[in-house]
Amino acid sequence: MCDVATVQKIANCLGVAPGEIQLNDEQVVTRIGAQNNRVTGFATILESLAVESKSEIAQNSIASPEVQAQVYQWIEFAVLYVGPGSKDKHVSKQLLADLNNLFSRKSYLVGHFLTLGDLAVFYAIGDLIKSLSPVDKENYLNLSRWYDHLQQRPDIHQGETLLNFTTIYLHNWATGTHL
Amino acid sequence: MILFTNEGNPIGLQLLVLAKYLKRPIFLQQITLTDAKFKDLILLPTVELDNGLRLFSTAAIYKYLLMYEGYPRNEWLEWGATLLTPALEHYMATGHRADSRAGPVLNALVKKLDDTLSVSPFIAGDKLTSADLFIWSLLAPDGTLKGAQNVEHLHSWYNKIKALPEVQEALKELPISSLSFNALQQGNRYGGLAHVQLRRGIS
Repeated sequence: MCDVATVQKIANCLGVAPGEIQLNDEQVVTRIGAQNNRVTGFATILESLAVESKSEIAQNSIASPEVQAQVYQWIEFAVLYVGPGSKDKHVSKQLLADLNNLFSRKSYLVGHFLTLGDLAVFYAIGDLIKSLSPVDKENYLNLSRWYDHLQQRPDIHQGETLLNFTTIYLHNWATGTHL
Repeated sequence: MILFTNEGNPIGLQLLVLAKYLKRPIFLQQITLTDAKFKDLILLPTVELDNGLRLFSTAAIYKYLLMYEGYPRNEWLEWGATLLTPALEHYMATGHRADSRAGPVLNALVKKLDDTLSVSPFIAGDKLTSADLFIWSLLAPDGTLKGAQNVEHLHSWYNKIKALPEVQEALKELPISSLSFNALQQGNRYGGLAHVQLRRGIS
């Protein structure tokens, strides 16, 4: 998904008016908000949205300076690695393995609550997850669990078709090995 | 704090310079991600703060340690991390990774810096901010400005920042000659930032 669409989705999610979202002359996403206030850069825009929002996700994301720093690093990770890396076979495989490993120890990227870090990675990895076969999804079970948990929320899926993570069909041919 | 980085990684200099600037003790530990001890690290450099928190994004660390410098510093940090760093890695790549398309993209970014520095003495305005340290450290390795022309403002700013005592102190531990953008490849398991498509500006 392109940056402009993702910023709009995340603004919806936070219940904030996105303002005018466009690409500037460097092809970087820019937000013109209230009072003609111009903010440039995906991560910086997400921070500006969080400050304006009263939603739980926004409050979680700025709960403390430590949380804020970690949220920022995951947003940057989404921009530099998840988004562009998803289109590369080698990088995407490593990304899936790393994120799956991470989610074996925790339910969210930062702390024990949903933050903008999760949202940024969620929207950046959507196309890659969509391309996975059911067996792949089984292999990345922890990542799949996190993704499925997030996509179930109406404020996150925003009417998009939900991806299928059901594993029941596997019982038919691999009953013994199914975990 | 502890700075985990791999040998030659120019991003490590960004963090070392910041620590010297803030007069914070920092322990530089050069490691490799193939070492099983560090299998949980995703990106190098990673900083472990005194409270145990580990962060791998240099911009996040800059913002956390220097919170009061807000706008427009924050935008410059993001610009440096997401536009300038990948362009430099593409531009400085050698051998089969060399990318001839990177030159014009980098030139446009460098020109923007020079334009900014033609109207203000520092990147984010009249005062030195951490944006200057952040961007200077990226441009520090030899050859980053070899293709740039008519960038006198940038050159004089470069020399001004380089002369700062804090920067000189950092360079004693990580000399410019030890740094190479090729080292970014070993800074993660994704092969550096080669997968990042360069954004070609319209202007």
